[in-house]
Amino acid sequence: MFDLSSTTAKVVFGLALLFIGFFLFFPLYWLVISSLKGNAELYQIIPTPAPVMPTLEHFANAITRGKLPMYLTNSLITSGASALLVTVLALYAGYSFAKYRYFGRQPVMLFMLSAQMFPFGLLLISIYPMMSSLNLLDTQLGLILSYIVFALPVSTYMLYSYFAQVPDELIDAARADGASDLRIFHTIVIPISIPPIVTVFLYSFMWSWNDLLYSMTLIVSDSKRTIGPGLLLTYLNEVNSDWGGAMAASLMASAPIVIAFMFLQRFFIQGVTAGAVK
Amino acid sequence: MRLLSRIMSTVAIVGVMGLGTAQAQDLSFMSFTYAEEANTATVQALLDGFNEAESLSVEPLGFAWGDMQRNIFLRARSNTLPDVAQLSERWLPTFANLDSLVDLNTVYGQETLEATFAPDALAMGNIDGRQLALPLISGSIGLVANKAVLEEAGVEAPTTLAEFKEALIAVRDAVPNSVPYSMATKNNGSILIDFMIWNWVHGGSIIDAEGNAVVDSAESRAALQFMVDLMNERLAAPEIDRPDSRRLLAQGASAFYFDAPQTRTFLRDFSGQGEAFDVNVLPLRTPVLNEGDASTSVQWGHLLVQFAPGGTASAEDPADKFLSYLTSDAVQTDFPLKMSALPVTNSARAAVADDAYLTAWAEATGASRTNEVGIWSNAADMTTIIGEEVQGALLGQKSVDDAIAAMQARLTESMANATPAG
Amino acid sequence: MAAIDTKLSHYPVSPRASRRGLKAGQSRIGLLMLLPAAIAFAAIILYPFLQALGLSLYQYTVEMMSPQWTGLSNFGRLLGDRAVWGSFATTAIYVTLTTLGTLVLGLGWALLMNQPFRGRGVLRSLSLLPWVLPSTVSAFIWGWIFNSRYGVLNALLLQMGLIEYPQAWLSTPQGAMLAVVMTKIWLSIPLFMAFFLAGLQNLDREQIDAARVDGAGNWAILRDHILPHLRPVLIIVVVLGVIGNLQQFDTIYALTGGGPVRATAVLSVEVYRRAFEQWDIGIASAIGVLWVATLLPPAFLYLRMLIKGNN
Repeated sequence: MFDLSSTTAKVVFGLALLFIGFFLFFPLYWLVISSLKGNAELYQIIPTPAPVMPTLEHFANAITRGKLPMYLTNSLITSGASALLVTVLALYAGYSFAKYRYFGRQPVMLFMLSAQMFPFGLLLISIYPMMSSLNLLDTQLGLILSYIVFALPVSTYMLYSYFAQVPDELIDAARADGASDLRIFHTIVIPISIPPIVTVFLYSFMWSWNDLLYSMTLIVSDSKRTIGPGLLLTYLNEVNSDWGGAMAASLMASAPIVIAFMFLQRFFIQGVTAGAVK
Repeated sequence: MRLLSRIMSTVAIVGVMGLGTAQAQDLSFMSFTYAEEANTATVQALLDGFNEAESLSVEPLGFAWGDMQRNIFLRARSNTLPDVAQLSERWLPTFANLDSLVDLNTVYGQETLEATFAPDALAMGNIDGRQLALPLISGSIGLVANKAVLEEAGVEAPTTLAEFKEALIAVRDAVPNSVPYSMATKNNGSILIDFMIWNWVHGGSIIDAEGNAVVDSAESRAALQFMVDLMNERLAAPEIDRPDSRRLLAQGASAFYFDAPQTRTFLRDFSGQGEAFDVNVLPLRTPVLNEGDASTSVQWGHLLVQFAPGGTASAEDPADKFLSYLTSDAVQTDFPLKMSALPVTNSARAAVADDAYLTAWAEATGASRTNEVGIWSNAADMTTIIGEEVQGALLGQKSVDDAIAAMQARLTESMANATPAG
Repeated sequence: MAAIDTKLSHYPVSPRASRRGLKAGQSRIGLLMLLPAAIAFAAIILYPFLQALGLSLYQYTVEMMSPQWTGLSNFGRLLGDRAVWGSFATTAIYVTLTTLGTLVLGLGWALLMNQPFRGRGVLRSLSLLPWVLPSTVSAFIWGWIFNSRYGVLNALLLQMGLIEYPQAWLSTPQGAMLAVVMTKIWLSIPLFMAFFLAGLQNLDREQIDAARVDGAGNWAILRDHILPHLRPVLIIVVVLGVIGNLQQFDTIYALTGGGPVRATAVLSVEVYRRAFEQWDIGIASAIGVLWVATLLPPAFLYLRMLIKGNN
């Protein structure tokens, strides 16, 4: 892309790489080495750049306290299920917007998309009593349904703009062979849309995965807590500012999703390439 | 597609497993002490003891102290309140109009309760003649010092404000990178306590008995100015909450802070030295403005409340048996000591009268005063107001005069909507 | 995957493809496909929104068992409430800084990652990490870096002699804002980078080579070819960024809780605090409604442009 044969270009490139790279990766480095320091080494005014006496005590503590796997499982269940739900809903809605013409199509789409600007906290004020009257407060199902709020509109739009690029000829050809619309969608369109589908799944997954607001409010039992509030309330509360423990637990909490993401990231980049962005 | 269906079936399986666990316990007990790592085993021992005595099982629900109040409100609105909950004494008025809160006079009889409990302890759970809570442990919030740090700086325990400040300066100069007085500067709930005490020391008060905000006074200004000066002279530091204070004191990086007697248990844990650290924990009289003034401290305790549909219960209910157990002599002569706090019944107090630490604590803190903010139904709102304004002044965002004036105006507005609870 | 992509590219995308759509008689199936999402949308987004709209006209505080009609008095109270106007300003600052910062750094990183060099693949994968960490974890990391006593930021500045005493970053309005903004930029760079990288994939290399032959330097190529080419990506990235930053709650709440005092109390935090910490539901709703009212008109116009452009 750029011509890096001149020295100036090389220097600028190198400096930019160093600067943004440092900003991106130093915090991660600091997370890892802080989790490996004992308390005596951790609480120093001038910290050591790498652990002098590495220890796994914080990890051991995080495991024996024993709530972490539970919080993680809860998060994976609620985020996974709601991302799946959003993806399926957005799949049909996006295809409908892209490939069918009916009265009110554009206004409806526009309205749905603008709804992404509704403050989540404001919606929560009414979702709360609604879930209460449905007896869904403090249940995973209630949380899963509420999480739709985060990503349904944008996901629909992403898939809409991907499907808009799928050539009509492809569909028309199948239709000429006598296939029904749903069949065409399921057997022809979806199989060629895996990358954008994965992208949308991950996008909505990340919203719920990061959530603090809904989980802190709709869930009151510790046994149903998700990872965000779980970590926050365990490690930085009134009696405890346990930074070493927080760092170790953070690493452990991040591990499964990081590993999963390493496998899915190819789809993700492809999906972004193929989908939302033309 | 195969990938998706695999994910889907995994989610479904895990989901069924996750949703299918229902516990059949006789009662649930929500406790913040249970959530404190240092104390979990002690509370668990209580529950086991109860199980042995009455063959009733208790489901412990551990919640962080800072999360309890909000969580109980959320539970009240979702009908998932526990049977019994542990509260900080200053939270009770906020909950007083929950329908399901049991008036324990109707369960045990007022006379029995009055005969059993120490009056000061019982009073913490009484609102308008209704006994909405029983005390679990009691004490006061007073000044704690690290003896080793005082020795290092070569200072004596201070009695007046002037001496206190001299001591702080000595510590600052003798112990590098220390926070001589770990004043609460981050969390509104903790800031309230520190401000309330210094305000009393200077002769001011925040809310009078009729519920008028009276913080706009020369005394209160002097108190806040005193706190601001400590910040400016680096005798106190920003971003400190109670756990930070405890950690600093335990590590010898701080000389003073305000806490309940329970602090000894935390310090044992945070110092990593266990009971060997006890010799350094020095309860002190709160310094006074002029020699001869009476020293002050804030009344403190943990309460137990019972929630039942309609607020009705009988002494034979599992929850009430549990309350009886927790306030029995067997528990009261043991558990409060482990928590480094005073028992709440007359008989247990007589039995532990020779405990050196508690005696020293009681002697140092003297007669403690009721939390003047915590007794109102809008305590949570007022805590935010006071915390924000004091913090604004401490961090140099507004002048002392502006902060006090704003506090007065906002408290007046808040009290206009308040129902007198205490 | 590669096979499918080439297969798709065999089909020419006719410029009129989406405008023409399919036969009108099939609109029923289209509506049917929309139905599930429409129901979910109506039940979980629209209905709560309308209800909150209504609640903004009621007084409903912690001491009250049921809401009480007060008309527009909540809005009257808000007019005189400097804290709320402060939140609007804070939100504007926060959203502007985070969106701009992520835009510049995300684009920069994407351009770097688009340049062939050894180890690029690994670096690309690793740079997605900040985005996949739970946001509480991100808040922990940055809180620890900015910590007033043991933070590495203070240590660096102390050792470089730039400060004399450790600074309590999170206790000053500017420091706290800096911390929440940096955290959000840090965790959003990967997503922006992915979008920009995607946009860079189908850049016309021949055109660039031709420009280079004509003597265009790196800067001219960036300005005249790459940036114009990325315009559509830029538009969508700005929309996603602004939405995400406006709605941002978790990192701010975990890092500063909206403090010190109210320095980082953006609207999302303000609504939460009023509704679920002070239990003043009426006022919380009114703030939310005011927020939507300010935001919706420009958002609506912008989105209409976006969708029109797509058709």
